[in-house]
Amino acid sequence: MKHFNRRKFCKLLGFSAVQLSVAGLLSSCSKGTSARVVIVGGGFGGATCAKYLLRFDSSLQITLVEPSEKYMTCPFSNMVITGVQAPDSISHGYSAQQQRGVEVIHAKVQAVDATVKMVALDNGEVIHYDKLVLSPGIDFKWDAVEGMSARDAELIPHAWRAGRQTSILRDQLKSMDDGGVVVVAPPENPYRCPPGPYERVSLIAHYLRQHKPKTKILVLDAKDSFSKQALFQQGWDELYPGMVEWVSGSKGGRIDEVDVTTRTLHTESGDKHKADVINLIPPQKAGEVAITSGFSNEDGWCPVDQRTFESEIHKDVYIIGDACIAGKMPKSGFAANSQGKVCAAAIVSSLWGEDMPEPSYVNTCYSLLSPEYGISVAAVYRYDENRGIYKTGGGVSPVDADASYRLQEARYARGWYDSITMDAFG
Amino acid sequence: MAAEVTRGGMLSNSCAACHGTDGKSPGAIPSINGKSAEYISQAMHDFRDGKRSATVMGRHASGYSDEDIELIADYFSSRP
Repeated sequence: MKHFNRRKFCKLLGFSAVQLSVAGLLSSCSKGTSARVVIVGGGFGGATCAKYLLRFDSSLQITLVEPSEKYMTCPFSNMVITGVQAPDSISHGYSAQQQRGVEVIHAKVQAVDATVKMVALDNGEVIHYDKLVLSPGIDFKWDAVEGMSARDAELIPHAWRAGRQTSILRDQLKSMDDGGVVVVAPPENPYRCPPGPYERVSLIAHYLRQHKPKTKILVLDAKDSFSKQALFQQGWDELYPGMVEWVSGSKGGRIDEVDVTTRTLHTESGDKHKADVINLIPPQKAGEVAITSGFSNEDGWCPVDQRTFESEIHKDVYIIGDACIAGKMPKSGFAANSQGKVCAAAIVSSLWGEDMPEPSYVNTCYSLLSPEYGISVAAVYRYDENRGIYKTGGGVSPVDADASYRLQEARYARGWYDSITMDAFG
Repeated sequence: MAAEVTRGGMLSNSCAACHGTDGKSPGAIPSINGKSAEYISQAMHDFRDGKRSATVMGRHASGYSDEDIELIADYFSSRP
């Protein structure tokens, strides 16, 4: 109860909490409101939002609630799965946030009560907020996967939230014999990182070609088309001829049932696929806290004002990143970073009683087909009252590009990672 | 340095994810902080018109108006 009590205590004394705790910071900002913003989720969305809130208004009291002491990113986790990079290289702590003045609490949110503006944590603390930002990422619709539960992900990993799952998939690929089958099963839209499953297929193929060249990869897709499809399929033919078979949803890709113990997938079309390693990526919904707190719709995603990211369901609650419905923007770490900044501007504008300038949003996603072969998709977005977030420009890498272009994009993919992780966590 | 909640700031903050916070890049993507507004503006126009070869920048530049480009150029030229 320490925050709530401190607040009440300060009120009694006639001081603001900020004057007591971080008085020194006040001098740098003339518009200081000393409001408390609680941010739940320390991934690309939440970490970026915390940083930019303080950059916009250094008098704010920011509390970031994130269970993990180190956040492992999904971007570049496919390089960890295939043994090219170590897990440490994609793990980020919160010391820079703490040095900046963000209070970081490593705990899980148990409940949000938006009517009294309180967040209860599993460590017993209850925090009051003036503005709440939820950036909870994704959770899985296990109900939609016949024959499998969350616990079975120990045997059939999704590796779609980085961490222990990443290591399980890496270890399974490492210990399988040559000459077998790896199945990757991407879900129906919408889901986190649309090109991600196909980058994974590419990098698994890169690993297998070096270590287990007689092994095949079967992609059983719930969809009939996918992000950057022409570029991926061209790259697979060029780099890994004969190794990758992609089956579209309507031609036998959709999975009906999973037999976990025998690692067998039954498809809607009546086929049976037994595999040595199965990477089944389940259908998705907003992270648990957004759903249990009542901020989601019947599809499991959170409707927001796409100009500010304020929840359509509760005032003073903002939802960013994969969990929210953001018009034409995909669910990606980059989109979450972009939304975190717009949301931070919306929050300070609201606290200052000012109109926010017109927002602009960007997405840029690189995919590696090998460590030296990169492709990208980029888009710039604006907001319109009738259309929500819409695209004003952008595009994908050209199909006819040469090897030096692909190599350059692979280099920029690493530069992209260095920059965005610094922008969010540094 | 404090960030501005201005139209130029809103446009430019989205560039920071690749070019680094305030345009200071830690890696392979070029830094753009402190470059002259003329240089940034010319580069963006050339990317947009296909006069300057690029990978992703031509595609990005296609999403911005002349006015947007001037605001972005002014913003990063003012970042130390």
